[in-house]
Amino acid sequence: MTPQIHTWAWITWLVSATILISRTRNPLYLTLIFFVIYILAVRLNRVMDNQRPILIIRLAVSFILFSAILNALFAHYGSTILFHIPDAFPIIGGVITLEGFIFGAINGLVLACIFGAFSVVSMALPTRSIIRLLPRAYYPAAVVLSIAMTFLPSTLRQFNQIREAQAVRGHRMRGIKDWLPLVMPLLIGGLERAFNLSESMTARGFSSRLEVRPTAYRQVIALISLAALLGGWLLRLQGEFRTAGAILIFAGGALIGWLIWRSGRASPATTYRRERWFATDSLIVLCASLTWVAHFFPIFVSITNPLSFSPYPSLALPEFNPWIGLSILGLLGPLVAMHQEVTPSLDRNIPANPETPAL
Amino acid sequence: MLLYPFLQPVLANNQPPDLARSAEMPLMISVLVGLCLLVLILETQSRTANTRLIALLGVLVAINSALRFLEVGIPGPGGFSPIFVLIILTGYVFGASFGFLMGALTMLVSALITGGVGPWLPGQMLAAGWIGLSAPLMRRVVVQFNWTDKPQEIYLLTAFSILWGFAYGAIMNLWTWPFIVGPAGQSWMPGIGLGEVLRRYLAYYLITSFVWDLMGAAGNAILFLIFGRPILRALRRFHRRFSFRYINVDVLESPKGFVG
Repeated sequence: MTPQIHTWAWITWLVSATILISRTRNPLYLTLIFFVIYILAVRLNRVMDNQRPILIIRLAVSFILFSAILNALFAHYGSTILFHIPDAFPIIGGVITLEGFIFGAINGLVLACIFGAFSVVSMALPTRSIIRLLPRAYYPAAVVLSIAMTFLPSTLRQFNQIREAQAVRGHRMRGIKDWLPLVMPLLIGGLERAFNLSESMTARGFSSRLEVRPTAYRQVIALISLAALLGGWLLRLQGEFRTAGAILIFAGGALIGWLIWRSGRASPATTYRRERWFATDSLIVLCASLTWVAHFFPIFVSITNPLSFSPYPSLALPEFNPWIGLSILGLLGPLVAMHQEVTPSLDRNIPANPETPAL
Repeated sequence: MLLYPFLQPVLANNQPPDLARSAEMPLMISVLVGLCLLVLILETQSRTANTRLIALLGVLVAINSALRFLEVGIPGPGGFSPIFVLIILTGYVFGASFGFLMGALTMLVSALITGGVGPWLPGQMLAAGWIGLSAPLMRRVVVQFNWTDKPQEIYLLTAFSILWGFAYGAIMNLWTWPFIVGPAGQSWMPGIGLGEVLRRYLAYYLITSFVWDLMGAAGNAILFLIFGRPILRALRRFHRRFSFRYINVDVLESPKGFVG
């Protein structure tokens, strides 16, 4: 079963985790974040009665090892020399340092944390909740996504059926050419189904509202917003214009938001089932936001660069501030909601209008 | 936006790279690329928005995502992926907007089903979208030389897919390359000059990505040479079937008689 956590609470959790991961290179904090993510993944797996193994640890080990070895081989920098590869070997020839290994391992850990955070949310949220997040302006794209997600299982089923049918006829898979009798029926069958589907959609009145061409006015606004983003980005890269760049990026983002809102007004939406917001959702949002908002409080600001760490040029032990460690534990917020059993009274999806039958 | 390391020499700045800032930069690029993608999808979906093309796009995205799903189960060598053939051919047959959406949405749907959602997704969607977006450019060449339904058409598309096999990897590298601290000859530094940036990026690409992308490009070429012609024929046949137009009933009942 899916734990009773609102989609937006999960999104807030993900954004907070991603901000935190991107702000720090301190391996102690990153390790703590990783274990928080792992605990959530294990708990989710149990609550959802999922039989699939959790791959986060295995992937993290491979990310860390791969990144550490690659960085040590290519970055011949640092004071703690482990061994020397003869200069006759191009690129990898030179000193291999402990600092190079550590720097690469930290990069791998960052990647593992990001991957883990997204995996947890992917596990927790059903695809329909993610599609439901799309703004109304993306109605055609959302329809395409819904069709694709609906047809995907049947496409895989059809592939297996074609494979079995061809095997009965004596077809054997020896090389890549033998895929042709499998791929073509799959494609043509899919195209036929698309044709039938479009007929059904047209018969149900889908075509009338969709064919709205973008106006020149809308295209100009889109161009201005993209120019603002690009200009702001380039300005931000210049040391002395970073604030102006940030303002321009914000203005571009706001313009895109307005454009999406404005375009969405042409597509009326009907919500048949609305998610309920529980007190635990508020708690999750509060705890998750505190993990990074807390770093603006004086107790954290007084510490010099508490989140940054670099093993170069000489390796030193990273600092660990217990307050920061405590704030990271705020990411464990979803655990609060994961002990609840799903009962009819707590059903998250309630009809928007009780008199409207659920479709 | 991804090309800024190459633009930076024009806006010369001799500041050393800021490590603390660099940790945030890949995420910031993802957010900005994501915003650009939102605008592009908003514009392109309007050009593709009729029920026939929406249904067709949905089913083709499902087929392509199924191929990627199978690829996750049975991984090919290096950067080999079977999804680019259909992205190129649908862009080539159905047009740039359709191709862009095919590329971008294939990446999105396959990421949702394979658990590949992450900050890298907007970049992947954009790069795959560009593949479909640029495919109709080949149609101009084919029409110019009258190569339609001739072997040269498939050879040209094969060459195009090989080019994208390398270009896709080169574009995706730009997401992280400026922030990676590596050997001096391969890392980006602000203010090093355009020629030096190109030389360093080429060195970085050859060492870290060339072999990987070579597998991808070779895979694209093999798939195009084997599957290209029959898939193209099928798509063209269905393109004709999907191109019919509804005629208003008033026109049909007009005194001039039946309009076909």
